Amino acid sequence: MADLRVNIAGVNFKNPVIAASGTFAFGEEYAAFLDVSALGGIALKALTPEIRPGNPPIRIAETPSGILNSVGLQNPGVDAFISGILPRIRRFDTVKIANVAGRTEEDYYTVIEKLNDTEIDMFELNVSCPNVKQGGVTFGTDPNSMAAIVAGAKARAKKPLIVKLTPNVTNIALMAKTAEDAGADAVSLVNTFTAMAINAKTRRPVLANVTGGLSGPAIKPIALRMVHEVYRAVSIPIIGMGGIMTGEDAAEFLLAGASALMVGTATVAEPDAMIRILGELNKFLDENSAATARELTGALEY
Amino acid sequence: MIKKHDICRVASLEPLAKDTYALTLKVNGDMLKYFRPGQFAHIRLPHAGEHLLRRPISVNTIDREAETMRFAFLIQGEGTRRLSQCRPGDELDILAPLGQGFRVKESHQKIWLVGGGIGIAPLLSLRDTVPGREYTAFLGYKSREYAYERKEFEGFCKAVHVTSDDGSIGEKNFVTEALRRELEKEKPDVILSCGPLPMFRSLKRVWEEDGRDVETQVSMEQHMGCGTGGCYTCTCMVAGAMKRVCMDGPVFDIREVKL
Repeated sequence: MADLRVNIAGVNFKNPVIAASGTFAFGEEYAAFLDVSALGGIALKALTPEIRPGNPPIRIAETPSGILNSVGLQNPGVDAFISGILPRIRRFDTVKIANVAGRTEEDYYTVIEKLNDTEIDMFELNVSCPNVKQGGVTFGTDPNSMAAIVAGAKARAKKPLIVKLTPNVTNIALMAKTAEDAGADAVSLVNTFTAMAINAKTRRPVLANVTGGLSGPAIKPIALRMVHEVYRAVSIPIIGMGGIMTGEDAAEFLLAGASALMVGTATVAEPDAMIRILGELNKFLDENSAATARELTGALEY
Repeated sequence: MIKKHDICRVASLEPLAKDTYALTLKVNGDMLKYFRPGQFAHIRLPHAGEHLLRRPISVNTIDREAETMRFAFLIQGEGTRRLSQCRPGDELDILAPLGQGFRVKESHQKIWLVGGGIGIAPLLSLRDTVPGREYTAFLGYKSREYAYERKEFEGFCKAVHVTSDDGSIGEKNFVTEALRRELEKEKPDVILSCGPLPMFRSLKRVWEEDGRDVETQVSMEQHMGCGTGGCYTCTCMVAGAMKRVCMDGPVFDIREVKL
């Protein structure tokens, strides 16, 4: 039984497995399938100042070893979350991370300020959603915009700030360093890759939004490379993700430099995948003579 | 915790009609105990490999004594093709029962079922779960070679109206036009329907013109991710809000759902 505890920016996690934002709603739905309190943390569905209906359907497509989605940040708005949902998820004894999104810088700051005095443990700044026309990924692809919004968010946030990075850039290490220099306490990566699926018979894109974000094992090798690059560029902790389906996948991300992990697509396929992954990671550590999950972080030999 | 996620053994797989199969699974007691008509299962493909997504398939019938759940499906792609190759004894990873199903009230004594194509299958589940009502079925098939389960409906319905696109079985007509003809004579307490979107659009016209006072519930289909309410991909517009087909549906009121 290895020691799975990790610490990210001063926040203690009982283990490194965190539900990735957008694949776990606000956690409640999953109480029917797993013990949510057994998870290291849950990154909640993205919140914006107002209710957002999201994109029209079709919003999902299966591609080889991957999933393409274009939900478009559908959410009830931060006020409805605080009054209606937060009281119901208080019972989950796990780190609660609010994923913060918006169209403008002010939108992000509004969400942060409204959540500052709640029991939310951390913020995850979503500057990487590929499925909205304004905001989202536009802040995550330009270093100047990134620096401004991270600094602005950090100045207002009373809780540790994670910046979620998009892989849709030429140099992700530069974007991570920019976030670090602007005050980010941690980075999480990677969000989904902008991609598309086409139905050749109908000559139409499968998704109503035309493009979507690709996730799953199809992107894992690229995500690992990016975590490795970012680990060499920054000294803040990294939360790694991108196609983690097994405990061994999780170990690979730790070795590449991650201190914790997010799991998304695996949950879409299998609601209790995170519990299985945790068990497998524990077993992997035992079988490979690692006493802690922490000692794997960045322990890649090359 | 209700055991909604389980590994279930294939009891049988039989052809019903062209490209149409019935898959019968041995399921656990919870899946049967909590099942309501119109609910569905989310089925992981055998040897899923590169296929990450489950396939949502409505429950066709249940048998509490034999502890089985039966699904009828049409081969529409790689997923359903693989399911059509299952053999007795194979194991499938199942989430069930999911969704809200049809809302049948005590006041719904006279129930009309309107199904199109593979959408006929879930309507049969009313027979086993809500017995003792006066049922009338309207079954629309593409053609005779795609027709299935007509006899099962004849076994519990007062009347069964069959239509097909080419007239090779029943009358050559849209199933919704057969419904219109009967609605002009009398009204049921509720209409429960499942079928493709074009059929629902015709149904809505018929309902607006001849059945406005009749409560009408439609079971929607959508490209689906998790099936458990977590990913918000399988949405449709209901009363001005995006609702999840998997969790809030799949059954919605025809007055509220945007078709």
